[in-house]
Amino acid sequence: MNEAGRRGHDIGGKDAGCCERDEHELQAWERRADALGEVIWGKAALIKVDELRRLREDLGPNAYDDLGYYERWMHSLAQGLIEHGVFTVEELARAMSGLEALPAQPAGAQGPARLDALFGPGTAVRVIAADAPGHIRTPWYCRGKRGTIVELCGFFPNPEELAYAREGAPLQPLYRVAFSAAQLWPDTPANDKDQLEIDIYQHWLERTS
Amino acid sequence: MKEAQVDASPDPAGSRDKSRDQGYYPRMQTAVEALLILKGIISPADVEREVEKMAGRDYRSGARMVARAWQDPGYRLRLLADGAAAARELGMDVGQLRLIVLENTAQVHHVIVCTLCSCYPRALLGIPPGWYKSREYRSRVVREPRAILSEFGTQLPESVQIRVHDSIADQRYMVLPLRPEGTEALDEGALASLVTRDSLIGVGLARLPE
Repeated sequence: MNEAGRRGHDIGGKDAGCCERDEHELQAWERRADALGEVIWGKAALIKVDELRRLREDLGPNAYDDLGYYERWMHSLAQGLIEHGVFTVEELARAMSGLEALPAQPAGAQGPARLDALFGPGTAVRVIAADAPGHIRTPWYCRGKRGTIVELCGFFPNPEELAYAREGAPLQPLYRVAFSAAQLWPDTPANDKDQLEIDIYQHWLERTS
Repeated sequence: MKEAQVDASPDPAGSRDKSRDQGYYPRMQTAVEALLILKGIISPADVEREVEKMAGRDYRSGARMVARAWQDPGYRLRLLADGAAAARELGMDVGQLRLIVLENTAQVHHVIVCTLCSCYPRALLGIPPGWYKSREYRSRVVREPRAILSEFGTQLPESVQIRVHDSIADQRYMVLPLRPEGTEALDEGALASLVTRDSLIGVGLARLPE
């Protein structure tokens, strides 16, 4: 058998160091993560244990080893619940980042085909400072940064939902947003006039006063 | 940054001192729980109840079962036939657990591992120790069990066969350790106090009486 086909979690028989007798007490959040898992696959029956295993295995060998046990655990719970459509990447990102939930958008045939565009050209906006696992098309370097709407580019299915084989409805307004290079890269000398323009979906933007 | 992580002492259970945002996964835990409550899928009491339930589970339940089996030949047979039923017989709530109990003898010593993740009789013994889930234990115990046992301070004669069980399916294992010599006069409570968690996993033996 060629070792290239061996998955990162499948480690029986490999070389490893001395077995340290780690008996440390779990942190409060780890106990809560443990219990949350039990509730999610037990009482609530939202997800199967083997789905969670698959999600942890798919981290690949480097992340699998780098993350702690309950970090992998939370990763699999969050991803699994997004896959099942229990909540969206957007909802998780806002909840993780202390932002209020947006008004619920009824999905599917009942809901609007597309969201109303809230921002016109020249509107001062800020990219929300949020993070979450999942497929996010808003680059890290612009999160939390101020910019100006250049134009509304049109309406697109939400890629965060497409990534989980859903329709991405309702369509999201997509804007081209201009950022000053000096603001984005304060440590890098730049001409004050230089700017960067990024395509950003509406749900990652908020109006600044 | 990478090197600093390599130097850090291993802590596979998840609270390593790392340079990355220590709050990221705790935040994820809080957010996932909050969203499920917000959507009415779970109640705040559900998680609390589960934390309490798990806090109430530990190896002492297994130790009680072992001590009873040492004293009561009928119970020993029932324990070996159906571990979960034997746990329920002693009033333990083990849910849907399917438990296989492996009896150590003078000739055979059993050790339990899950090389693919962390399968462990949680419903009976609680949350497994950090080392049980570690890369070191999972990798090595299937290939060099005697070396791992000696790292736990357990020496077995070469005449004893070691059987390592890689527990990778939806059934769980527990070891019924060998009753120590010189314990004939002890009552069940005193016997149970000789049964360590490690002896239920097979990396240790039951303690000798004082």
